[in-house]
Amino acid sequence: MSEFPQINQVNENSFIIYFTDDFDIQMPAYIASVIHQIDTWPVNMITDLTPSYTSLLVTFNVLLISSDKIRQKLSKVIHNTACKDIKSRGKLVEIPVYYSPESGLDLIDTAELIGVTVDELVALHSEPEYLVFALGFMPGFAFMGILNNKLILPRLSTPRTRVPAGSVAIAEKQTAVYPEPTPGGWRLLGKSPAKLFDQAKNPPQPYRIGDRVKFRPISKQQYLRLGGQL
Amino acid sequence: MNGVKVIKPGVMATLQDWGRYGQRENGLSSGGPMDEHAFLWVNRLLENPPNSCMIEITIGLAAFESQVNTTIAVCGADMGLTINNKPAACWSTHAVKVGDKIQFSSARQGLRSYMGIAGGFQVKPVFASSATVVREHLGGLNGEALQHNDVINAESTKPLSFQRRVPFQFIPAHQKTTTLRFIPGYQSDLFEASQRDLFVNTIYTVSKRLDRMGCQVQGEKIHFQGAGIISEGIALGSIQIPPDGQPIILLKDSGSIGGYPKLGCIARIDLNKLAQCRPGDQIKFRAIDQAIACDELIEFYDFFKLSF
Repeated sequence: MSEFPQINQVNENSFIIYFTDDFDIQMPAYIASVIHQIDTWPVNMITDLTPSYTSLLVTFNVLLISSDKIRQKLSKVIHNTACKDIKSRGKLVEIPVYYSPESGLDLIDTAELIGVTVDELVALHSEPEYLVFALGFMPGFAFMGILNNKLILPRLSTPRTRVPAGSVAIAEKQTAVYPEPTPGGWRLLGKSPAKLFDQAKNPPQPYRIGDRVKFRPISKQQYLRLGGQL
Repeated sequence: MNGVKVIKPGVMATLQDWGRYGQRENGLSSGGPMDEHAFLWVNRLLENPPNSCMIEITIGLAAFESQVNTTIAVCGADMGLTINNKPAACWSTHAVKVGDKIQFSSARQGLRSYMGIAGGFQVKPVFASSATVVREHLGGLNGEALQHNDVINAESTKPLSFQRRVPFQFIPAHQKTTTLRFIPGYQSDLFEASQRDLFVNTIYTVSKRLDRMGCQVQGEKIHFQGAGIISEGIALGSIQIPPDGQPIILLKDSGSIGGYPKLGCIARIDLNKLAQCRPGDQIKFRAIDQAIACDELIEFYDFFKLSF
């Protein structure tokens, strides 16, 4: 395999930077730091940044700067950002979750499948701090990880045609909250009353790539008081 | 405020400006016109700023009523436009008065038509754009496609005293087979040479899986031998190869990240041709050098005096 990072042009106005080729928990903070530096470039030079697990897609304004110049500027930023230097951690976002069979349709099955009690399953999911690796799929949806090994399970063999809004779910090494109803194949453990996408705010969601997320178990009463619906 | 009332939206009509940029970091699509060429001509004919908001009409069967005296322009697929039941030319401006009925029947060729208005439609922007992305419920009027009885605000203006038309040499001719040039990239090198050859030597057919998010083409299946890839940022025009081997070209409303292997990206100015392709139309792909595609794009944007 070739060396990293790689800066590859993919169309007239975009480069994709590959930082590594495998899932790495150091990546979100590192990519966030690269983004932070690109954010200081002159206004309008960069039209979009699309971070993901191991890469960053950089889209630039072809009318303001050439591909060669952008490539040079990107190599300089990456050269100046050593992974080991990333000390700053993303902010901690707490998301309340009502874990129960009525809010998490797969809670009981999942506990049985991995051979633990429902309370143990809730602890396994809510005790760790997760990292936001990527945003996408739908507004406010964050791909978070990494789950405790015991919780690593394949997606449902038959995806649901409708996952309720607020559902807190797991799949493979990842966890997420569905901000809006949508079809989906992740396993549902509970529901959060938190509003995860607000178009009046910028950024519209409470987390960015590199931020840390902790799920806080709440009771049914708290869930309903916070505006949760069943 | 008055403007233009939607009598019927037809198959689908959405409000679009140039697009919502700077929000991919938050996982949002850009939206914006599928056919940038027709879109930019509308604003140029009307002397509007090039990103002014207009209506993108898909297939046709749409009707509107003007509540203001002003000038409109229509470019793109010829949908048999009439104003008060009198035929009116496509790729042209038209003066309209209060009460005038603007009707689109359906396109014999092409898929999308653009109707703009002097000064642009006045739509409350969301993240600095009025582009409608229905999948995200963002932009337009309440994040939705246009509905019967919607009123889109626009100002009265002194109608242009003469008709402006797009010179004929700039009006794209319909092709039996559309050639789309692409810049090889992403996982291109991880496909076997035989599969890359198959892709450029096949005449594909546009399938019915065609919308603002993407366009699937049917033909020879392309196999990817490599391992699964980690989800990564999707550039406009990405040619994605899903497990069934039938290529999907990702367009303005596509998701911001995806995990299928990609052969590269369609040249942006060729996406304007794809925007007018209908199910059953034939497509051929040809590789192009990135630098050439880039020069052509800059020339295209310079022609329309874009600065963004």
